Formats: sequence, structure tokens, C-alpha cells
Amino acid sequence: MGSPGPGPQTVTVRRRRRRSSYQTREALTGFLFLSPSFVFLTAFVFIPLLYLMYVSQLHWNLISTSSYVGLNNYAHLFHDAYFTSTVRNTIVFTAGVMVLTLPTAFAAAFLLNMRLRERTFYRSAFLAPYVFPLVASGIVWTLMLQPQEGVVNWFLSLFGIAGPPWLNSGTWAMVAIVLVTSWQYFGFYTLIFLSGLQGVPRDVLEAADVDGVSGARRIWSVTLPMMSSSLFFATVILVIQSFQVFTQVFVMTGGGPDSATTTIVFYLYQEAFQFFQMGTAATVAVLLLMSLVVLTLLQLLASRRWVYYES
Amino acid sequence: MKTFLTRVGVVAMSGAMLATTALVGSSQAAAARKPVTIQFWYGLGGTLEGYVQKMVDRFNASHPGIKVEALYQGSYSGGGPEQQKLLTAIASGSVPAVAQMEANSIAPFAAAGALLPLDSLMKHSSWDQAGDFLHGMLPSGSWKGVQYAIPFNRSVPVLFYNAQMFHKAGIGSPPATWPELAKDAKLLTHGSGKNKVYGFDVLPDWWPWESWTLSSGGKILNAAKNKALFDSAQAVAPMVIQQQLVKEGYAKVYAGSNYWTEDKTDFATGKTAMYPGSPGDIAQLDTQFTPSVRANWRIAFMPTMPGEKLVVPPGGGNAVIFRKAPKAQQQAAWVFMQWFTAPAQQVWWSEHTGYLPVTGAAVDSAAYQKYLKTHPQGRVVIAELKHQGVMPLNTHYVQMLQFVEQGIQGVFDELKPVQATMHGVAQRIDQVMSGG
Amino acid sequence: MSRRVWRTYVGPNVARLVLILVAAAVIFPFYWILIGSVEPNNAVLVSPPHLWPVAVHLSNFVKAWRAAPFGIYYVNSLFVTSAIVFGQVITCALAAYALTFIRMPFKGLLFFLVLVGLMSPEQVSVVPVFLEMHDLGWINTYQALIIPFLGSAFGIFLLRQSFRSIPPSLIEAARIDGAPHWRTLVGIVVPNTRPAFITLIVLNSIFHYNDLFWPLMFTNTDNVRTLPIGLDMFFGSQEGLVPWNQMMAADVFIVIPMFLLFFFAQRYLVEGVVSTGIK
Repeated sequence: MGSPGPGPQTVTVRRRRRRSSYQTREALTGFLFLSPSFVFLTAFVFIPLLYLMYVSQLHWNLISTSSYVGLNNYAHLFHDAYFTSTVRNTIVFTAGVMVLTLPTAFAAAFLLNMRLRERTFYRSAFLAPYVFPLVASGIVWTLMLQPQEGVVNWFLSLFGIAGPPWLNSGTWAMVAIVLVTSWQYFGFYTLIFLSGLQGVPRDVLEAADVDGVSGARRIWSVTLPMMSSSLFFATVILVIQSFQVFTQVFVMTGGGPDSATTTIVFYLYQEAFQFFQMGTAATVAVLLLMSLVVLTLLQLLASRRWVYYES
Repeated sequence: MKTFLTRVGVVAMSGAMLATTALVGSSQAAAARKPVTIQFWYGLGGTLEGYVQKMVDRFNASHPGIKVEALYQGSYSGGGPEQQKLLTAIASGSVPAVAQMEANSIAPFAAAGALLPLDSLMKHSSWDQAGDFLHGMLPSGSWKGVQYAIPFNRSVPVLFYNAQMFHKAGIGSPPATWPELAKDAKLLTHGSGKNKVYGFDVLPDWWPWESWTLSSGGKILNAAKNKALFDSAQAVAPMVIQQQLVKEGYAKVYAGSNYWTEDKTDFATGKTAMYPGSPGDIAQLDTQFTPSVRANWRIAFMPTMPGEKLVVPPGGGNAVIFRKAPKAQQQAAWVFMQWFTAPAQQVWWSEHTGYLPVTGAAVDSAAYQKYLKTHPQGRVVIAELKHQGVMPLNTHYVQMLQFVEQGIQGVFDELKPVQATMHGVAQRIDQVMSGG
Repeated sequence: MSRRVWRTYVGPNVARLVLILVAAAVIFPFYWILIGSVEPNNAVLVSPPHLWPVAVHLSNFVKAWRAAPFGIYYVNSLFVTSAIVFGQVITCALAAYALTFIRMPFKGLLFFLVLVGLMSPEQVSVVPVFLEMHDLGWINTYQALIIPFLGSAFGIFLLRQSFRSIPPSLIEAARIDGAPHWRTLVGIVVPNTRPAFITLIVLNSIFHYNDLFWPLMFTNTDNVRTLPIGLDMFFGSQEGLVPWNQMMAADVFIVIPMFLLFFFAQRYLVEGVVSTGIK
């Protein structure tokens, strides 16, 4: 049967084939582009995490023979008041850093957005601590927070305030670590908010003005919603950063006094290298990661309700 | 061969000891081809680091067959960076030949079989035989009856006091007991605000705590070393007394990680009349002394509870050799360790750092006796060595000390009730020791 | 007072006053470090603090420099940091491009994995990575300091945010013209998101340059060690004197390269963060 040429059906098939081979090629290029990153992430992040999941089921001090204990480490941690207190400390720390950093950074960004001539100077000043090694700032702040000879309490005394004992007291040591962390990060979050503010279109603000909405009300009901996505980004990153707090604790308090400033990652480190309990340390690592994943997913879900994306 | 042996100065007096000769002989044979390079990991930073390097330079200059690379690995304190590095190094198998190790930390490493037993080597050594070391210098390096470490930089806690202040307050002699110390501290405290002079600075650290507990008739652990006993009323009595002094304003306590440095500075500048510290502190004190304190500082034994025997813990570090290091390196490491403990080196090290000489031969040497004439306080420290006790080491001991230090901070920084706090610490470590 | 007067004169000056006070508080520690770095050690910790040095001992800097082989550490720090960040720019740009512009399966899952990587602190992975490095024979080498960081979850995350601000139509137009993906990346995406790249370079340089934990764990000898280890050496033991003044001098010379990088890059930083799709 003579056929004059490819009928309409054949054309469709061929086109589909072409499209699917195009799709395959696209996908292959995609995987090729991803492969360098994923080779390294797999080797040095994912495999170590899987390995830790395995180690979390062992009783092991890293150098002696290990024994398999199943989920005992998990069960043990859930009943360990000390571990619970490190979780509590981490949450208190995170909340403290957020409460202190986010509003001040927003206020600073708001003032910087007034476009004063010398704003570069302020911006650089605010960001300077972010450039400084955490190890060094931890040490310097420890000296500055000395109750007697420290600069901070001297300054407070100028206003007739008797400075607190800072690192000598459980409550104040936590306050000190929160303060130092906020000092370090404040400029970075100011920068994020500043860029968010600069993304708020002027005409929207002016329109609000015309409608008689100004001052605090304008910030609350116009500016903040317009930059909600940078608030969201800042919150997510700050939560992750705060949950991973280690160096400040390591340098300034060693987790003390007592265990008042022992946070999750510091505890993990202690279990592994000071207490010779690799299994417990791995368990803490797994739990930390799981809770961060859950927390971030929750934030993502919640963000659908309040984050405004300009499109 | 002969010149080499003389220079090594190790086997000279024990020519009859076949094993050692073979040992050094073989390392010598290897050395003839190529010097053995060994890594020595240590954890003394700051000023002390310079002295470690000087010692090693001297060793290398006098031992052409061996090259010691002395490598700083972060602080060697219990749970410090050097310990983490050793753990990971042993786990992976890339170990140094020899390392400094904190005096209380031997157990987990020895129990894991990571360390080379030294007994047979020591038997053939000219000054590192068991009987050569001063009282109490060896137990912290042994585990289940096997010696794995020999003393490197060692100290014991002592009480520093200011004789001039004591004289002014009408006190004739330093306190021998905690109640006496409390009474003296009250008499010594005066002034207020910036000019306040305290009678006593507390050292909120596990190291003096070992002495507080054992010198009050208390025990740290039971005989089987699996249950904590340090929370008894008897054992915590010195802490109760010190906390009371803090509460009443007669004693000062620093928190944060600098408490020790702060105590030293207070004492050197006349802001406190007494503090418990280490003879190794003298290096720092010396740079900070005001003229009147320089003329009047003295050392006394650590206080006890009335009628109880004085027991002081070993402090500082020991040196160990690793089992996984190649044989030639182990032999070279042993040569180095023996050189370090030889009298001439011990005297030099002690004079420069304030750490104690570790062998009787070093203390009796003319050089050290001469040093003691100009540094009479050293005699007190040497005398206190008779009271150096044996700590109940087990594989959880370092962990226990960390828990204890948290408890101590709760007691002194936050003024928590002493016995209840230490009871909590005891329960925590009991749980760990019972395998929970 | 009219609103105009407020807006033009009073408002900015109130803002100025507040900003000056905050800036002064934020940079005071640096000023204090500078003073301390030239003073004798016993003058560092005094109350009231010296707002002007009691004596200028520039020898503190010389002593601090000699306290550790800082020359070698400097070279190592700069080399290791540049190598890491150079590698990250390449791997992250490719990955972020794929996750943004290429249609492919499992994208959601792969991005989720990147997020997991973002949440894992180095204290978590140090032990397994150490064992890997040992098997590769890389303990105490530059490889151990550089290679584990060549993939950066944070970098992918940051660049992806920024890439999303590029109109997809721009990419599609180039693709229809027959440009392969790599040329679109180099020719269109990179030039349009330069500030985001500079932001990535600055932030990750700061992080790796200042990191103490990793180099301390993975190096044993001076020839591969980095600056923060030199800083750590001032505090090796409770039983020795801590030379605070020298430590502060060391702080000063350690921080200089990052301050310079930051100074030259800072005008891009705001843009960089703007472009990461945060607006």
C-alpha cells in the first residue's frame, strides 16, 4: 500500500520522540551540572550523616570495640534531664538572639534607608563584627565582661548601674552569649533588611501617605508586609545559625556555669571528645538534624500564610 | 657507636642490659642510614610552648640519629583539643610516636590498647626505673598494673599566701586546715570597692577539688571504682566552708574560662592574700608581682579538714608512646623520653617552667639544690610530694571530672546548695559508670 | 512643626544620632583591641579602661608574630580560603543553574537535600570525614582543608535565590537561539547576578578564613596550618601567662585581609543580598 508520505500521526510520534529525547538531554545536562556539588556533598555531608545514623545505634568510644545497642541511645537521651536542659538552653538562646537581633537590625536598616550621605560608614561599622573571627571575639568579650575590671560594667557604672556578674551567673552567662552573638550577626541582618527595604517600591509608600497612612502604622501595615520575604529568609537562616551555636560557648563559658549555657552542638562535642561517648554524640547529631529539617519545613509552611512574593 | 651512646646518654650506665643495647643498637643501625623522624604532640601553649621547643631543639642537636618534630596540638587539658586529636588519630591509625597526656586521662586510651606498655623498657633504663621516680609520680600513668606513661610536666596543688598580709593581720603561720583558712580569710579581708583585698580566691576547678575531697577523709569513688562517694557531708565540707566565705564576702571567685589567670593576677597584685594554685603558676606571677608581693609570697601545703590526712592529686601531664607507631619510631621515642627525664634536663625544665623535677636524682643533683637555695619555696612543693595520692582512675574519670567541674561552678558561681549539687553530679556519673 | 521640616531636618538628624551611637557601641570592642594591642600586658585589664594607650609598645606585634609561624599560616590561610571559594563558585553556580533553569526530574528532592546540607554543622560530620580522610591518606594535607568544602549547600542556596530573579524568558530566548546551557550560564546569568557571586565569595571567605575547628582537627604540622590555630596558641595552658596584648596584636594582623576584602566588596553586598530574591 502506497503511502504518500508520513501521515499526521507519524508526525506527532516523531515530534513526541524528539521532545522526549530533548527532555532526556535536558535532564542529563541538569544532572551533569549538579554532579560536582553532589559528589562533594555526598562524600562529605550525606555519607557522614548516614554513617552517624549507624553510629547512633552503637555504644562506642571511637577507639575501643563497639557494641550494637539499637535505639537505646535515643531512649536514653529522651530520659536524660541533662540532654533536655541542653535543648532548653538552645531554644532560649535562639529565641534570645532572634528577639535581640531582628528588631534592632530592622530598625537600623530603616534608619540606613533614609539615605544619609555617610550611610556607607554606618553600614561598614555594623558589619565589622561579622568579619571578625568568632574565636577572637569570644575571648575579647570574655575580658570585656569581667565583673570587676571589665569595660562593660565600668560603662554601666557611669550610669549608676551595678553591672551583673555576667559569666559568673547561669542566667547572665546566657544573656552574655546572646549579646555577643547578636553583636556579631547584627550587621549581616541589617544588610538583609536593608536590601528588603530597598525593594519596597516608593510609589506604594507614597500612595499610603496620600491615604493618610504614615509613621508607625505605615511601617506595620505597608513596609513590613512588602518585605516579608526578607524577614522570612532572615528568620530561617538565623534559626539554623542559632541552633548550631558552638564557638561562642566553647570559648566563653565552656558550657557553664554548671550547665547553664550547654547548647546542643556543644553537648554533642562534649559527648564525642570529652566523655568518649561516640554513640550518644551521633544520636544527638541525628536528632539535631531531624529537628532542624522539621523546623524549617514548618517555617516554609507557615510562610505561605504571611510571606508576600512580588511577582 | 660509642660516641653516639655517650651522647644519647641513655645506655651508658646499663651496658649489661642486652635488651636495651639491642634496642638502641638497632635504632642506631637505622640511624646510620637515615635519621628516624618522630612526631611529638604536646599541648602547652603560650610561654611554655617556647620551653618545650627549646628542649626539643637541644635534643635534636645532641642526637643526630633522631629528629623529634614537636607539634603543638591545642591544649592537653582533659577534653581539650589535643585529646580529641589523639582520639581521631588512634581511630584512624595515623598516630604520632609520642605525646603529652593529661595526668588523669590515661584510662580510656590504655583500655583501648592504644598505648605501648613501658615496664620492660623502664626496667633497663638508667634513670627511669620505677624506683627512680619521686613518690606519686607513676600511678597516674598506669592502668591495671601496667605502666603506660612516664611523668613529663608535673605539679601538685599548693596554697600561695602573702606573708606580709598575714603579719599585718596578726596571723603567725599559714592555715593548715579549712576552718583555719576561713578564720584567717576573715582577718585578712579589708577595704571595699576597688580597693578591697580578699582573704582568699577560690579556684573553681576539678584539680584542687580532688584535694578538697581526699583531704577531708572523703572518697571520690568506692573501692570497685563504679560508684561516686564524693557527695558525702564529709567530702563536701571544704566546699561548704569556701562557699560560706564567698557568700560573706571574704573570698573571691571568677567564672568564665579565665578563672585561673584571674586568681594569679589577684595574688600577684596584692588583691588577695591566698589562693590555691600550681607551682607552674610562678612563671606568670613573676611577670605580674608588685614589689611588696614579690618580697612576701610564700607557698604552703594545701589545707585539710581537721585531723585528716593531706592528699594532693597529681597535676600536669605525662608522656606516652603509641602502640601503632612503627617500631623504629617507638624506640626513638623512648630515647627521647629518657633524655627528657634525665637529671640535667629535668633541672633545666623545672627552673624555667616551675614544673617539678620528677626523679630523685634530679632533686638531689647539685644544680637543683643550688636552685633551691635561691628559690626556697620550691622546698615546700618538693616536701608536699610525699602526700601525692593515687586517683581512682577508670575509663569514665575524665568525664566525671567535667561533671564535677560543672557542679563546682554551680556551687561557687551560682551559690547552689553544696551537697545537693554534688549529689546530682554523683548520680549523673553513677548512671554513666553503670553503663546507662 | 510641619511634616516637611520634620522630614528634611529633624528626622535625618535624629536618625544620624541614633546611628552614630549604635555604630560607636558596635565598633568599641575593635577600638579596645587596638589600644590593648600596643599596651603592656598588665595595662590591658584595668578599670576604668584606657581610652588612650598608657604606652605604645609596637614590639607586641613583633612578639605576637613570632609566637607562631604566622608567615606560613598567612600563606596557608589565604591559599586554602581562595581554593575553597574558587571551587565553590564553580560547583555552586552549576548546581544553582540546574536547580533554577533546567527542567529535570527530582528537582524538589535534590533541593531538599541541599537544605539538609545547610543544616549540618561541621562538628557533626568531623568524625566520619576524618576517617575518610585517613583512608585517602589526606590527614595533614591541604586536601583535607579544601576538598570537603568544595560543595557548599549555603552557596547553592544563595545563588539559586539570586538566579530566580532573572526572567526565565531571557534564558529561553538564548536557548532558542541555540546557546548551550553552559554559555547561558556564563554569558547571561553570571553577568546579571555578579553581586550575588561577590556576596558568596565574601561570606564564605570570612567563614573559612576564620574557622578554627576544622584546621585544628585535620592538621598536625605548621606547614599546612592556618591563622586561627596561631591565635589558639596563646591559650594553650591554664598554667602559663596569657599575653593578652600580644593576642590582641595578633587579632589585628589576622583580621586585615578579610577587612580589606570586605571593604572593597561591601558596596556589592547590599545589591548581592537584594538580588538573592529576598525582596
